[in-house]
Amino acid sequence: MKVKQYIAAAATAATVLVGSAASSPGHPPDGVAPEPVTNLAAEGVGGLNRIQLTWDEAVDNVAPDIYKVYGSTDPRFKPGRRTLLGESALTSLRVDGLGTHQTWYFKVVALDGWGNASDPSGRVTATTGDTLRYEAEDLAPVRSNTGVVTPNPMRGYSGTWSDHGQVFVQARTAADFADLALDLPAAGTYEVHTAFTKAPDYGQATLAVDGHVLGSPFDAYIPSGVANSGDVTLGGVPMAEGGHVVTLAPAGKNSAAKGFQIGVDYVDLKLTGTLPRDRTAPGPIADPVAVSVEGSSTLRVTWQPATDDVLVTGYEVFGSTTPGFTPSKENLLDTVPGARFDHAGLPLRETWHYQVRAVDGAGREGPLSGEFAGVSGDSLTVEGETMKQIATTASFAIQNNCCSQAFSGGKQLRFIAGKAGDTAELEFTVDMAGQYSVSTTSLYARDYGIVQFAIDGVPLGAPVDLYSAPYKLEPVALGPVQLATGAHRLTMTIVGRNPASPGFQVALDKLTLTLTS
Amino acid sequence: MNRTRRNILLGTAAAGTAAIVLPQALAWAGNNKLRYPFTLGVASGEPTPDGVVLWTRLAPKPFEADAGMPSRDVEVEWEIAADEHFRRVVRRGKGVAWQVYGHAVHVELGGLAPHTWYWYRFKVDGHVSPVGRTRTAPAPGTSPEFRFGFASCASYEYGYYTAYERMAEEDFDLIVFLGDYIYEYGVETNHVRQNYAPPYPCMSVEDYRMRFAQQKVEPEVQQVHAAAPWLPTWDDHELLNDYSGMYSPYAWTDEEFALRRRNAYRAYYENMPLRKSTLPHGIDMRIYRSLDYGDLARFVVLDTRQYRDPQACRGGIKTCPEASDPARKFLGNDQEQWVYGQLDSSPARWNVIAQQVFLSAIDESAGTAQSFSMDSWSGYSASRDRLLSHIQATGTSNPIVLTGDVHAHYVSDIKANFNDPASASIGAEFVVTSITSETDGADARPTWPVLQAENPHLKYHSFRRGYGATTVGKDTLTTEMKILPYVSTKGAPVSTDATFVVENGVGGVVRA
Repeated sequence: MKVKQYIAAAATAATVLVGSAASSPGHPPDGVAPEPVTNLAAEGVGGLNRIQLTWDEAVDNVAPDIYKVYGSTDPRFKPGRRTLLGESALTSLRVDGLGTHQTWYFKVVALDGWGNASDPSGRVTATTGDTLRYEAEDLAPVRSNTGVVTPNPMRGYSGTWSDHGQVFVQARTAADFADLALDLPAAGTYEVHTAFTKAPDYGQATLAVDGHVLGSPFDAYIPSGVANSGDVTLGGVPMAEGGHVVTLAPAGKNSAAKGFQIGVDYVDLKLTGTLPRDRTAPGPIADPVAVSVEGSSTLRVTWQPATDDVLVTGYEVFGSTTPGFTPSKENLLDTVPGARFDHAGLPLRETWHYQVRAVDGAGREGPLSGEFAGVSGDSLTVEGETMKQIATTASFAIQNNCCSQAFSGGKQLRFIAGKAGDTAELEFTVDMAGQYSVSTTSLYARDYGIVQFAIDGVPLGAPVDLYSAPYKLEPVALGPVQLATGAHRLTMTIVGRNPASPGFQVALDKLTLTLTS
Repeated sequence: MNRTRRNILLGTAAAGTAAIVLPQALAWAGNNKLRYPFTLGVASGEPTPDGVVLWTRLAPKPFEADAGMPSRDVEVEWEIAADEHFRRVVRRGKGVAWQVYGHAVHVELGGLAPHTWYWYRFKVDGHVSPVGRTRTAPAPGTSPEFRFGFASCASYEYGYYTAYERMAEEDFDLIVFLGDYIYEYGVETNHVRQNYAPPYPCMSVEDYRMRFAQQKVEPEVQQVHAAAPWLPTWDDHELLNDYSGMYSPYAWTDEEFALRRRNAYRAYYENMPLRKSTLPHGIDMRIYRSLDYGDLARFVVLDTRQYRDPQACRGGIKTCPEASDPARKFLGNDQEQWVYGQLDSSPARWNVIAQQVFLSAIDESAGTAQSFSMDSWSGYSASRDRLLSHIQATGTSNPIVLTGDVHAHYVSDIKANFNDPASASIGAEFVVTSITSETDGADARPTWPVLQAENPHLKYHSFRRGYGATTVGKDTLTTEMKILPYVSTKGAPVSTDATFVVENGVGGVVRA
């Protein structure tokens, strides 16, 4: 690493400069720009879509502060706002996220602490390799059944993850999964590579692209320590430009393993050819099912992917509450890249009928699946942060995930009470009259108080002491309540605090209503 | 959530910042007159016998990317007087709020009288700043008694700045700040209030500026700066939790971390009353420095973050042989030699080493096993051994160490051999609790019984919030450990929890 110590020279020079009487608005004490950067060099990084730039430290009368890197695939480019690729405080910059087999041209400008800019350096060029690298920790989680997928930004062990990070799927059973979004800049046939983390509590990992599981499961179990698998070639897949879904899911676990977890360092897509011309329509999907997701009214629709002579680019999911419906634009629920669709926000115990078909890159449609159905669940989840705030004697705040906990919806509602007797009133709505069993899920923290919940003025269950030294997020069953269709009020009343807690505040992650009759 | 990493390299940081810019008319629109720009208050620092640094930063809209300022330098008038009503103005002049430094103003004054109170203010465009009070240092060859405060760790989220308010009421000649003036985190804790500027972890220089502004708009912060000159140093949170030199414990590439370090250091300079000799240059900023208070005290201010190697055994509380490797850098060679030079050349009776992390060895394991915090000097124990050996060999007069970092008061004797209670006490260490971090706290941490049993050199502990107050005289140095019962709401009173005296020429503390 190039870390230049400027200290001794710089301190002296700056002191002298500041003493100058010439400085005034528009005339900084240092008006001398650095000299142009020399020895700029560009080189592709290991066959990836990355180019590493290095240069010599610029000569300045005081010291350089920062470098701006400009670049383009056009050799005649001029440094400017539109060609600015990045800044560096070192004498190097790795430019990421480029295309494959691209020739890029670069120039670097040095700036000193007073913003004086050098003339651009000479131009250098380099060509990217055939492989698009995606750091797994940078892929956006879009869906998981347990809410336990986390970009893991810590330098977790003495080995090296690419760019020091991995994505971590805290799977607890073979049914768990995480879907991550990947945006592909150019269509082609790609060979997929990855690197898995190995540990005693890791399972047999699979990686699927758009629902197609690639290669065979990777057994990430090792008896002790943490290690990296090294580069694993999973297999080839044709992919269209645009959005794709990478699914990480355990196929099972080694009998000695203590868990099903999965860690992935990166996903490499090595371009092996252009997309062949698509000549035939996709085949049918297989084994479609619609199953309610526990604790919600969501129906999760899944199926086996369809085949195509080149590739399936998406699946059209049609749905209706009417059996025998005719699929049309009006009842197209969504077009999804992978073989999974979450139908959320449904009323309780509602029957839905679905048909699914594949679509290929040429826009051809596969045959409709035939109708299948599912019944949405019994449970209604109301997020604390989305409930209508009616009144409070203290204040509310909406808070993102904290305290090593994953809140439902990524947020919780804080009721920042300051004393016993503080109250908060919230409103929620039910669409179906009936008897419900009620539970609340709240954070326990070391400065939280004791709260009594009530619905429509009637206390539910015993007061809940939300004090806990280690944070935890747990549901509390409050008992049954009869609810008519329409709006209802949830009241939180602070009744005290644990002697160990300094505070009275409480929080509500979600309210769960499960229809019992 | 995903506003992490990498985004800063390819220019999306600017877009992220722009997202919280409100669509309001520009401050510099129409009549060309600035809106009131002194929203961040005033400050002074680095007192010498004849001068001081006066500071402000113009920010009509402190929570916008450009702080509501025009894209040009702005001239600012300053004046300093011998009375708070400015009837006896002793000097006035003009300084520049440099656009490239976030329109910060650092006026380095000379020609003042020693050990004298002054009042100062700024003017621009018809706006007048709040008035600050400051005091020059005593002249060389004189030894008037003086009193300084010391503090650390002022997380915004954890509580209210009542401890700063009480410090402002103390009549200190000087305030020494030992780091964690800001915390770089996004909204991720679950405490008294939430970071709002920015509502994500600080990355760009604009982010760090806004985080400083989030602190500085608080009235108690403005009061404590306006009450006395400051002598600040930083710890890790002015940049990133637990960083070491050029090493980030999080998933940053070297280039990403270097850029963040440059941004954080630059914003620190802009927001503190520092001399221009401290101006950062890229990723480097020399903040270690010394300051004399007559013949009584030399303050040797250290930077134990910028030059250190990564924590041994990957950090934590460890039994770790690697921690004592003499090749491991802590101060870095240049700073280490400089410290020895400062101690050797000191004319002062009391040599006050103001720094960040526990210098005394604190064994945190019950029984014969020993474990130490890898973030403290104990994680770089050869550096400590060299410093203490130097102090003993050269006979440094009355070494006094000031420490922050751990959100609790501790007072410790500095031992020639921390494993031998019978060995000589060669100095005293005062570890100051936080201003807010960890909210109200308790009388003691649960770990205190073990620490007390394992470390006979530890003489005192409190896990309340507060600060330290030290009176420096010819014969004694007396330190009051101040505590507040709560910071989760405003208005707490302050009390002196314990008082310790160090006698001239006697190592170690005596509880008064």
